[in-house]
Amino acid sequence: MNFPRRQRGEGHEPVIPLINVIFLLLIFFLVTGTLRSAELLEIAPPQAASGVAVDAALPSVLVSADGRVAFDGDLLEVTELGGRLASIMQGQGDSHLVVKADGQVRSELLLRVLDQIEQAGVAELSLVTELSPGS
Amino acid sequence: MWPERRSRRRRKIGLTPLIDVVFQLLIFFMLASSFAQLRTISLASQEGRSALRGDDSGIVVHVRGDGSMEIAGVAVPRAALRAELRAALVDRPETGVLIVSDAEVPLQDMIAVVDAAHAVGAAEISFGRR
Repeated sequence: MNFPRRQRGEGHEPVIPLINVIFLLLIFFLVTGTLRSAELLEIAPPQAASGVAVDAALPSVLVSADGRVAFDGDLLEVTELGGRLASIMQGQGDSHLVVKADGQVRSELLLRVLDQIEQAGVAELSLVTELSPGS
Repeated sequence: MWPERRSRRRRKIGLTPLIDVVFQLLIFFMLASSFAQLRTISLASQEGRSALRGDDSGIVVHVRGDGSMEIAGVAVPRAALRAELRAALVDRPETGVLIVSDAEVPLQDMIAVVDAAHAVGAAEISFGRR
């Protein structure tokens, strides 16, 4: 009784459920994911359990694992950073800066970057971390 | 014959490009989106840092190149770091923590100390050299 009907179905698979699933996936990625911004350096921030949400509007200094430093769309030497920051931070009362450094950056380089930032007179400084999966 | 064939064909044409486009969109969003949750940790200002360094008001955690740690000169195993920090903060709840590290220590190890300090309620945290 059922044979003829089933054989007819084998010819063309139903497409509608497939489209439904793909639409669901699409909406999932649209809603849950945030688009990765194209940054100059590839950086994997260190993992931490503490911290507050990032304010994306703040200017950020990038430090990559291989020791390169970038600010405001340009690769810089660490020694150039202070002057560059000072010129941009001028005229801002309470300047707030974010440092996005890779988890593998050596402390010696990070401290040199922090020194430059402090010399430029930045009032508030925060470090970007990634929420660790366990927390 | 004719009208029937035409309407059947029209129905079929509509679907395939739609699926193509939706697939393209799906692949784009899969590749371009990231699920990493970024946070920020705020560090003490310069005045805060020099105040911590100046006298015995701050707790100094020293991270060595081999990954071992010291609190105020006393070696502390990594697992006991949080408990030791809590013990050190009990007497002086408003104290800051200064993390000094050898040159080759990666940032990830320093952040582990920051995490521990945050967890036990340290007021201010900053990085410094020995």
